[in-house]
Amino acid sequence: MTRILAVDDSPSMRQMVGVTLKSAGYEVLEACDGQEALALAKGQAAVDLVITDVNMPNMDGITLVRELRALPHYRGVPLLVLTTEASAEKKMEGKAAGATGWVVKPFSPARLLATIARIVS
Amino acid sequence: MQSPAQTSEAAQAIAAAVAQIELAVREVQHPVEQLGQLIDEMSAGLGVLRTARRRSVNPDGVAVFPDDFDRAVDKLQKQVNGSITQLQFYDRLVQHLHHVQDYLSGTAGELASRSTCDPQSTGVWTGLRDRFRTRLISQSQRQVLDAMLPPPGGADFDSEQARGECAAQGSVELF
Repeated sequence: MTRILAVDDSPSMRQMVGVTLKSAGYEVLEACDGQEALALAKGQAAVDLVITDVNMPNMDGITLVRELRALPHYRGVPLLVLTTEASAEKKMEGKAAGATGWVVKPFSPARLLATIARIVS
Repeated sequence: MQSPAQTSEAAQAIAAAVAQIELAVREVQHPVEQLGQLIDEMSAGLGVLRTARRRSVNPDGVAVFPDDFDRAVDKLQKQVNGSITQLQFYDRLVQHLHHVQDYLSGTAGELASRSTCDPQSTGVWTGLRDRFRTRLISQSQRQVLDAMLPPPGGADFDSEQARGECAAQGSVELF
C-alpha cells in the first residue's frame, strides 16, 4: 500500500488531506510541522510521497523539502507542496529546494488524487 | 497629539479586539472539527458502499437499480469532495485572523510602551506594517492593507495579480 506523509500545522487541513487520501486507499502518516516530519523521516519511516504545507511553526515547508532532499533515503521520494502561496517567487523557491510539484489551496480532492496517481506511478 | 492616557486607552481597546478575535476563532473550532468528522464518516461510508457493490455477486442484493445506485454514489462523492474544498476556506480564515491578531498585538504593545511623539515611532509602525504584509497570504489582502495603510513610497495596485492569484486557487504544477 502506498504510504503518504501529510504535513500541516492545521488539524482541519490534515483531516481533509487524510480523508481524501484514505478514500483512494492510501495509508496516511501525519505531522504537524516540518520538525515533526523530519524526525519521522530520520526515524526511517519509509514513505512513498510527502505532501507539505509551507507556512508552519518550528520548520516551514520549504526548509523541510531541503532537509528531506539531503537524506539519502528521501532523494527519490516525491515531495509535493500544498499551500495558499501562489506567487511565482515562492514556487521557484520550492522548486529550487527540491519540490516535485506545487498545489495551491484550496485543493480539489479529485485533482489532488489524479496528481498523486501520476506521481507515484 | 494624543495624551499618554489616550494612548494607553487605545492600546487597551486594541488588546480587547485581539481577545475577541481569539474568542471567535476558538468558538468555531469545535463545530468545524465536528464538520470535518462528518465528512470523514461520509467518505468512509461511501467506501463501504463501493466495496459492497464490488463484492456482491447479485447486484440486486445491493441495489435494485445498480446504475442508479452507482450514479447516486458518484454524486455523493462529488458532494463530499465539494465539502472538503469549501472547508479549506475556514483554514484560510483562521490563518488570516491569526496574522491580524499578531499585528494588532504588536500595535497595542507599541502604544502601551511608547508615546506617539517618539521620533522613532514612525519606523516602528512601518516595521509592524511591513511584517504584517509579508505574512498575508493573498494579493487581495495585501491590496486592502496598502489601501488602508499605504507604504512610504505609495501603493502599486495590481488588480491583474489579484485576479491571477484567485485563479491560481486549486492549481497544480509539477516541476
